[in-house]
Amino acid sequence: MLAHLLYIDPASTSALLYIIVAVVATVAYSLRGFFYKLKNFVLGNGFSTDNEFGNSDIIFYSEGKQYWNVFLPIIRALELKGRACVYLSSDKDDPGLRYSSVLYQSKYIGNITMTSVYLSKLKAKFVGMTTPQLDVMMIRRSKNVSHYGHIVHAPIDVFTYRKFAFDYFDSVFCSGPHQIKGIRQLEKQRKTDEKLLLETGLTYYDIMLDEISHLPKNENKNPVVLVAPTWKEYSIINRFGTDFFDALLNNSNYNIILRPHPQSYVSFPKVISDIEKKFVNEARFSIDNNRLGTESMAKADLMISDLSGVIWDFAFLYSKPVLLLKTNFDDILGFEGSELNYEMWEVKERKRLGKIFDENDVSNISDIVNNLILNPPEMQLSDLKNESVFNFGKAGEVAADQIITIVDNIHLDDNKGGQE
Amino acid sequence: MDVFEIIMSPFVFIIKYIFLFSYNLSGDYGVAIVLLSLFISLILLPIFIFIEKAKKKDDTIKQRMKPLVEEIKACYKGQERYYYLKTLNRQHNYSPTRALIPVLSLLIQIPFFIAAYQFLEHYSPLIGQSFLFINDLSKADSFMGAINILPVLMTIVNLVTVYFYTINGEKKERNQMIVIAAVFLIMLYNLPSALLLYWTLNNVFSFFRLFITNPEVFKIKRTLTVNTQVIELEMSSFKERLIASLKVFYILAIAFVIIQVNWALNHTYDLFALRIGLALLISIVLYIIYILFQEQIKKSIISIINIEIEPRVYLSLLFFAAYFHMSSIFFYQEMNKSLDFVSLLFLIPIELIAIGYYLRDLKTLRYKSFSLLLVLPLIILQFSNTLGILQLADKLLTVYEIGYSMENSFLFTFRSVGIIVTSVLFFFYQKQKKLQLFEISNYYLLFLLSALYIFGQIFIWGPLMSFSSFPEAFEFSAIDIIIKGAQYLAIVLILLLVVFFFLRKRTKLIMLITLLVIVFIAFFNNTLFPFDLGTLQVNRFSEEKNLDAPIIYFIVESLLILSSFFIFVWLLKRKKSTYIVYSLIVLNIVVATQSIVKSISSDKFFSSKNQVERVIEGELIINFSKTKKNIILLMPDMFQGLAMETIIEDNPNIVNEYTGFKWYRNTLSVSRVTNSTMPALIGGFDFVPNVLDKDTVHTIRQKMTTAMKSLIDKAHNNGFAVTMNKFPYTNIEEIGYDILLPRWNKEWDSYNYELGINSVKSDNSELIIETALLYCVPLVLKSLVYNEGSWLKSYFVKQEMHENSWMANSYNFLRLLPHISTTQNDQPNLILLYSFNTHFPWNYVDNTGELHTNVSPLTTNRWTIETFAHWVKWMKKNGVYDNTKIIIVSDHGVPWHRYDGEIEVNFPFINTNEEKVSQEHLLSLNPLLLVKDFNEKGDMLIDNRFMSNADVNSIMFDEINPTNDSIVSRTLPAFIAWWAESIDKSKKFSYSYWYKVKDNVFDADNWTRLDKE
Repeated sequence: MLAHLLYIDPASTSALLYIIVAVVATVAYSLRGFFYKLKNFVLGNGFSTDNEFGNSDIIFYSEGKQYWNVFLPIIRALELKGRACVYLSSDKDDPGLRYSSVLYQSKYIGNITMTSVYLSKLKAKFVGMTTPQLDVMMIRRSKNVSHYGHIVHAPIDVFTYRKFAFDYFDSVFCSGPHQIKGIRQLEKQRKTDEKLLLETGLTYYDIMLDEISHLPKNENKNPVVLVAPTWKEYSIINRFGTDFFDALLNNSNYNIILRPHPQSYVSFPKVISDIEKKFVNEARFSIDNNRLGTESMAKADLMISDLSGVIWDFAFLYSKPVLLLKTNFDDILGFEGSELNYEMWEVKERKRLGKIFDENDVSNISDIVNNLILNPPEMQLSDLKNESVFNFGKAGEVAADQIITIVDNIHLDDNKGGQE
Repeated sequence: MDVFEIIMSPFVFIIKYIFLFSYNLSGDYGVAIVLLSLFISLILLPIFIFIEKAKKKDDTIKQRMKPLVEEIKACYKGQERYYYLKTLNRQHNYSPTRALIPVLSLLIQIPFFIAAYQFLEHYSPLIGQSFLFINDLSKADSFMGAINILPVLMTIVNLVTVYFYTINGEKKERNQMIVIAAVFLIMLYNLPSALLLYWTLNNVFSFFRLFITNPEVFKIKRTLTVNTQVIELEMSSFKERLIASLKVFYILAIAFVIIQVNWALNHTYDLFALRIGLALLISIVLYIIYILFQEQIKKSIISIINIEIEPRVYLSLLFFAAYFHMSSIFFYQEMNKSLDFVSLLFLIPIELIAIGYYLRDLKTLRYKSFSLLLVLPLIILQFSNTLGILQLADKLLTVYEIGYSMENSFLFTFRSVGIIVTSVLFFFYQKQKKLQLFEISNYYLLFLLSALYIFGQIFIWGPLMSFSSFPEAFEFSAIDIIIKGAQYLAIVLILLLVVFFFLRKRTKLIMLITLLVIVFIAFFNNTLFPFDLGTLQVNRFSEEKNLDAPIIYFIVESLLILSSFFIFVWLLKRKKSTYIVYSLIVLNIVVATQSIVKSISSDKFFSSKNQVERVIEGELIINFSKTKKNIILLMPDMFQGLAMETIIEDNPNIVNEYTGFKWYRNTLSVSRVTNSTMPALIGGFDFVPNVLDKDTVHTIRQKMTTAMKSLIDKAHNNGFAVTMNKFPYTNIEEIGYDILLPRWNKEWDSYNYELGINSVKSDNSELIIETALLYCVPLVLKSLVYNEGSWLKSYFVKQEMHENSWMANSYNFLRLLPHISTTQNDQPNLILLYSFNTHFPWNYVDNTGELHTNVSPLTTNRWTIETFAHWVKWMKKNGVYDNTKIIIVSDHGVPWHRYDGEIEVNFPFINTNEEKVSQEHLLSLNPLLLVKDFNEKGDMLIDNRFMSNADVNSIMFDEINPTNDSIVSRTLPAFIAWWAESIDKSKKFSYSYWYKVKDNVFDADNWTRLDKE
């Protein structure tokens, strides 16, 4: 039998190989799909969710408590406009679960696997979420949801989002024009449907601005410098260690707050402990380990950082300058940016935050700091903010209006959903 | 006609039709083959065009997706990678299942090839037909002695096609196709030239097909023709290359000339010069091919040396090589060549890789140890031997033939060496790379629980299960097993723990994972999918032939072992050992509970009732009455009635010794198994299965007991005392016997000298442990443990053949009969003796007391008759023969499928009709019936009247005794029954249908089949 089956001429051999490869690949591929389905089924405790928010128009889904501030301004605005909404969270500690109002319901829907099951059975006109990659990763579109919106929760460009982040949303509530540019280009290249790209802004800025106005200002005579590095190898503290702070303290009168990234304690504990030991008796030096950085940021007159995402919030919310260490960006292979052929917004605009320094400047860093504190580029910062962030301070209300427009234009018999 | 043939038949029809049409057209078979090839190629052309189109379309999509696919693969893994690739496919409208569309259409053409093979290979008119240079289309062309020209031509055509087909494609694809062309050359080398002609032409046409499906591949050359300088340059470099690699030509030429000389030495020197000339010509052709593909060939050699595979892949291949090698060596009864061939397939690649490892290491050679330097020559020797096997094979057609040539070469022994050497090399290599260790928790708990499961299963739980399935076979109680087993278990566990404690961490880890795999395999074998070996009968399994398992079983098992290994490694690496701990605890509890519950329900948990049955010393005798009547009923289980014919032929003295006996040759058994025959044999026609089935209250055992009791009551009513041994399937204590003879009694050891017995040691407790082990071990080792019924013990302990072992004592009992018989009785005596001697497994004990195992059914039948004759002699001598009625009756014939050899009796059938009743059924329904009535004299007679073994009851006490009637027409029943699964639970006999037989068993026309009511 072996002999009969094996003989085929070379051209058909190639085809035969092709068959074998194709069959094996297909089987393996579908088996994998089945495996993940099964895994999700087991971890998600089966597929028995009958969701109680049957015909809510507006549902928000949040992955974790850190996004509550993104949703809260929208929810409040909707309330004021007499619109009900539902808030679903995968985080037991989400403050949104304790928030209460007549027009508001919330529910904890379990871990991410259970969530994906729950969400795939959802019924609503509009579902808004901060989680990207709808219909790509575990969260799939539900047939009974007419419109999915992604609410952007950082001022950054689309480059650093993981692959296919926005492709299957109906709309994206953008924070700035750079996002619209990137998404449009990806749509074109991938031939995916054109999304509704809304000029919304950053809703959590509404909350933060409010909080900041209640925070105590720096009453100390001395200016305050906040050092907020990332945790990665190229960060300020990993590259220069204690020397950097020596240089800062030398020849200066300002106070220094170091706010290490929590991951630093895990990945590079020695660096942190060296710094802690050395400056334990230095009155002008302190370390801030609070969960929220708002207080330190409010006190600070200047921020020194490398690649941390917090620089934008600092510049936009507090209108204070940032001194940045010159660093190469992380490789964007595997992220959306790998398919975009222009300079990303963060790289292009970061020099407008204040000043960029490199390792040669470390020795005279205190001069640079003094200089920048004395001459903050206020106009430049304000321009950058106005160019980059839509609806600064009132994004929540804008978002609520946009959602209402979307919802009101959906007719229930229109299964395909979307805007008209 | 099997399914495959049915599916193939339309294609064979098409091939046949076209071929015959072509032959009518041309009148020449050779031309007909050319036309056949042409027509088939034309028929398949549209399909090929479609496939090429689909393939090209897919290729462009894939090409477009490639950079992103590579990016995603480089950055992500696991579930995330899968989801991204899925999305990517979605965005490019590419479905992996779409790739199967061309496959479906391509599948259509494969049958044509198979059909051509089937048709042409066996098409007899081709014999002796010549065509061009081919002398005989039905044979390989042998144009140049050992060398067949057609396969070479075919390969050249293939290579040309490959060259053009892949001219724009990837090198990888080209290399693959070259390898496949080489494989086909080997596979098809010795096929009939008609087939090769057909295929060679098919290849020629497929080359021309490229002009239609891939015209672009021929266009590129045109640019070259414009620039003559380029061609000159090419030519000069070609010349240079020719000269530079001239040594390759020398090697080829020498090799081919040597092959020719070698062939001529063995065959004939006819046309020797021509052959040498052609050999040189072929080496030139091959040399040019080498020059053309020089880079590919060199690269492939280098790439082989540089192959870097993951240790786990290497280990897996090594495992498969070792597994299949072992399974072939330990295969049931003899080595399995196909399995060994499979092992070879795995061994060749790892040997290549191992050589590569070694060659690379030679350069840097950190391990300059002398031992390793020895390894290289060994491994090269082994590898060239492996390849040599392929060269040695005269015909490279089938796996079987390759296997045959493997076995006949001394090289075979090198297989084990090869496996060992490759594994040694691997570990040396890995040592340098430092295998990654990982921490696990619960080390000792895991170890203890797995060892507890494995050895608990072997020493306690497995034996308990065997015990409970047939408690009466054992002389001890369940609690004995538990106590003894617990002792063994404790010793083994302590020893293992001590060893484990002192092991290095790496070895500990390996040992733990191995144990876990063994646990899984044992669980799989014992609980999930028990391997069916039938029932254990003395030392052998009724269905032991199942060990002759199909290869797919071994493939599945090897995959199972390997995947369980990786799953355990994965679980432990991910710190999931608590899951394993819980599973092991559950497993241990389940297996213990199950066994204990089952053994408690067997009623022999605390005490062995067999001991109770022992009757007071000194009374264990068979006491004949000299004055009153004696009746003996001997029931040799599974005695083939017709065997008497051969026995008498071989030993005519039997006829004189069995004075007064009549052999009822034309006897029908009530059924072909003991449990459904016995009630009727003992109790008469009121106890045949379909009558007993009307009683739906009592179990089969109760019904059997009732039959036995009715006989004994009848005996008592007639004033008879009853001396008996144990009949199977009865509740002996309810019967009311007078003397019960055990299987063997210590008192009887005093006759050991007379019987030639050495010592008494009879216990089958070791056997049930070995049985448990057999159930646990993977299939690959089952035959090794089983050892054709001699079990593992025989590897260590030489069986004392003169021992009155558990196996031997039933034979010795029959030999003992004259010694334990007296004539002191003043009461009529009924002597009921059941004998297992004649049952499978077929053994016997000769006059010197030596046990002979695994003989034929006929041999044990003859032995039984001859041994019983000694008792007959004793009766005559002691004057109790005339007043004794003797009935020797078996409960069914031999199920010959259980015997390896041929059926040993002649078929005296007047009329056979397999559809009415198969010979197998006929023989298994033909029992022995020998009867000697009181005061009968004269030589044994053969009586052809129609009898049933259910007549015995009436014969004993002369009620309507059919042996006394004048011959009348009778119709008797025979049931095709099965082993009742549990005689203690079933209320009905399991049979699917039965026969009514009229007058003559040996005439199939007399058999009427009836379904169960």
